[in-house]
Amino acid sequence: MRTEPTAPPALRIEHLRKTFGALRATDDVSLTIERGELHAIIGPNGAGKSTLITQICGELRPDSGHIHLDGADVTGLPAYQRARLGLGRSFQITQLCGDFTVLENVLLSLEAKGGGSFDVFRDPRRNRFEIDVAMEWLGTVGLGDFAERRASALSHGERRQLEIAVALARDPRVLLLDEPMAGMGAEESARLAHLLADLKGRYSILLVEHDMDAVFALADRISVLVYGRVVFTGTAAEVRENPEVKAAYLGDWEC
Amino acid sequence: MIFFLEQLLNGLQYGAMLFMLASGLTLIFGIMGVINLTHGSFYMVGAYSAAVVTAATGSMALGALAALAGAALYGTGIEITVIRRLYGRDHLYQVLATFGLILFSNEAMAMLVGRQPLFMAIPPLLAGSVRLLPGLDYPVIRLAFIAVGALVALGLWLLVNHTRLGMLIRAGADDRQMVDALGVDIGRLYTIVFALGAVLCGIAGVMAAPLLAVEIGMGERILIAGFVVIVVGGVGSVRGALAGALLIGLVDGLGRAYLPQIIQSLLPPSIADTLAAGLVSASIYVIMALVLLVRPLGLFPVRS
Amino acid sequence: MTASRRPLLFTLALFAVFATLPAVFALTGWTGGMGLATRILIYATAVVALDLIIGYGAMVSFGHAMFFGVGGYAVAVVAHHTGLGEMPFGGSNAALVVWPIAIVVCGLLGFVVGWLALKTSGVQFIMITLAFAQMVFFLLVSVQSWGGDDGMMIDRRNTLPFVDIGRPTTFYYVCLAVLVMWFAFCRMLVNSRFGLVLQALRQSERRAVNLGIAPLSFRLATFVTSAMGTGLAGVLWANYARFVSPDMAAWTKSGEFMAMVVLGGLGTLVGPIVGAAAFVGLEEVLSTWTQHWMIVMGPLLVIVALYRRRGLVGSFLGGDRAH
Repeated sequence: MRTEPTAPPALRIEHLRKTFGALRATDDVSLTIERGELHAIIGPNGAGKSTLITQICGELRPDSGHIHLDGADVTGLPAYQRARLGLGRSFQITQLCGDFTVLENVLLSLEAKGGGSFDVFRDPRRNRFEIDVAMEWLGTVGLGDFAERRASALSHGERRQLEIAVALARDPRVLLLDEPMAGMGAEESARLAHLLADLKGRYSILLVEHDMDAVFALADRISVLVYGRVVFTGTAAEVRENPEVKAAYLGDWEC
Repeated sequence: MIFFLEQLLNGLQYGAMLFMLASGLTLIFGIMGVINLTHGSFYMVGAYSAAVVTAATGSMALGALAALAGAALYGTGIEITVIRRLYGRDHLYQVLATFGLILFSNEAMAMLVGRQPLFMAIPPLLAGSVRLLPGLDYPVIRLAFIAVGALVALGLWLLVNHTRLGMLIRAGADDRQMVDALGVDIGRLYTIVFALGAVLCGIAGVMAAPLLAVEIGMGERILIAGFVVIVVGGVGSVRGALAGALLIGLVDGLGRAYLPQIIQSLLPPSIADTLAAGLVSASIYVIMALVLLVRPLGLFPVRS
Repeated sequence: MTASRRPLLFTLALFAVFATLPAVFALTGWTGGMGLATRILIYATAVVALDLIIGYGAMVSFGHAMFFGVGGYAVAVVAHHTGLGEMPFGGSNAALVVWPIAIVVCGLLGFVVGWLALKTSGVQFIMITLAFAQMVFFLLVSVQSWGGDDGMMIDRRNTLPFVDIGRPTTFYYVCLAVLVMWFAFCRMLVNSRFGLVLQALRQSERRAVNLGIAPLSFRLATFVTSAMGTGLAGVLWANYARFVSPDMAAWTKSGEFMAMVVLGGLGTLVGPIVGAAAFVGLEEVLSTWTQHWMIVMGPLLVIVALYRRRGLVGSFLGGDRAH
């Protein structure tokens, strides 16, 4: 009998399948994210990256297969319970509370960590401790000066930074980043890549990204998704060299 | 058995009238995304036009024409002045604006015609009853209205599925960009659909005029029933409106006939008498609540 | 977080005006003023409650008059059966007994309706709340022992310790006190930890859920709270008019409440108070001028919906809420 490893992977996906009619959006996908690993998923448009993400975070139920978060099977749990168990995410199309200030968005993340409170007496905007935590994260992503600005007044790049601060503030066990650099200028992308490099090792991160330079520079491992299937998983160097990946996919890079 | 069949036909006739209203309502919501409370007012305008013109000319045919024209004109006018500015707006504002229009329509009608209910005589051609079965004599006019309802349903089906306008309507409900890409003036398409909905209300008004009192407030009663129909059927679906109208019509017809007896057999008379009347009126809302609980998007949900 | 103190100052000024109104009426000798002002306060209590769910929770209830009606009927029914000697423990006419009963009944009704209605959203939510209100309406119409269509008279107002609310001025100040306390509670609620989550659900349900929020419990709690506040307004109305009828729960009443909320300023809490004053005041002014006052009121509502979507005071109070 094999001995169980002392620590299960942060995220383990086993034989996940999802079909829409005849389309196999997710076709027997298995992958793991070890603790502290930055695991990137790349693939052409329509490869099923978004479908995979929505299944991991619980917005979409897979037809079959299992998802384990920190060793616990979360396949049947709704999205909000997965979030409480430590799954943090940023959205491809930013999902922020536009009427809230930047700070309030991060405070919300802290409040929601335990499922939100039914406390109708205390104002979270007066909670020194939470504000300090939130401001620290805003500083980390470079939004420290914008705390009092309404989220709807932020630029595109700043919104993406806020998305990440919101996801990070809750100290997630696994962080899903869905194309965090999409639509960013070169300078903003570089800053974000710098931030990710900084976070690397401290968090278990699943990164879906089109910016290949960033992916190859940052990722510990890369999984290549084509037509819903993982055709290859390996280090950046291995992915570059793999003939199967090249044949299946390399003519089709898009950034 | 005879009694049951008679109630069934009554339910069918009410269902036909509801369908006239609900099909327009559901198209307007499905295509333009507008909750239009004014829809009941078009029906009221139709009924008043029919009653007034028939009384003045003695011809129900002219009355019917006046009803269609009146409802269409009023509907188009409302679309151009108000509804047009509500496309893409939050439902709350649509409800508020069209609620204001109801207040306006009712008051304007009261100023024009007065608050006395009008009654319209049934023309000789449609008067009397016909023997459907031994022991079942049924009014001709109600049968005629059931037939009109069936014809309109058929006509709508042909229109939506087999004409260019219908194709645009279906495309508009599914994919606004496609309609734009086809180079169609979407504003005009909306006006046409809205006018179509108003004409259908006019038909319902013609159906109501000889059978019900023509009065202020008649529009809201049927409007709310119409909303029940489209929510039960699936908002945006004409097929759903038909199914919903028949279901609600039958529930209402049979409920009126049988619910009091059922309640009396279940509960002591003092309570039963009290509750029966209320439950009959509330029955369609109970059905709606039940349907929504099982199928929150209605019986024939439109894919989004 | 908006540093502006404007809403607070505006609210204080508004309440100060309400507090001086009885003196103004006494000085000017306008006898109808007190009744008008009392009606405004009562409707204001109801529409502040409605703003809580529409403006902060994005739950567009088109049936809120049902709670207004049930709150009112609870007062009338308790009084009726107490008079007949049919109530357990001999019944009561004390406000401190009757009013909480009425509010709890509205809360329970709100729980059932809210729990069922929140299985839907959007246009279905609007319609299912309307449907429940219609059910309540028709049940009230049909209960002959409670007056059916005609409604019920109430012999005298409930009694409060120390004050005699049979006197119009005293009753007015009781209504004002209720409104002030209810408003303060709602304001505290929307600024609280609970309110933060509630408002997040309005702006981006997806974001909130992915942060760990289960939407139903927050929305339902708010819906029930709002139902109780509207029921409280119904309680006051029954005491004011000493008469209740099914019209209190009619769908047009729900529409009027909604109109008052938007007229004043959605999502501001204080705006709807202004909206109630404007609506009731306008009705009063127009109806002395013509019996066809709705011919003016109708288009006014249209204009507000089309062009003043932030209401009479929404822009003045600041903020950039996108509506």
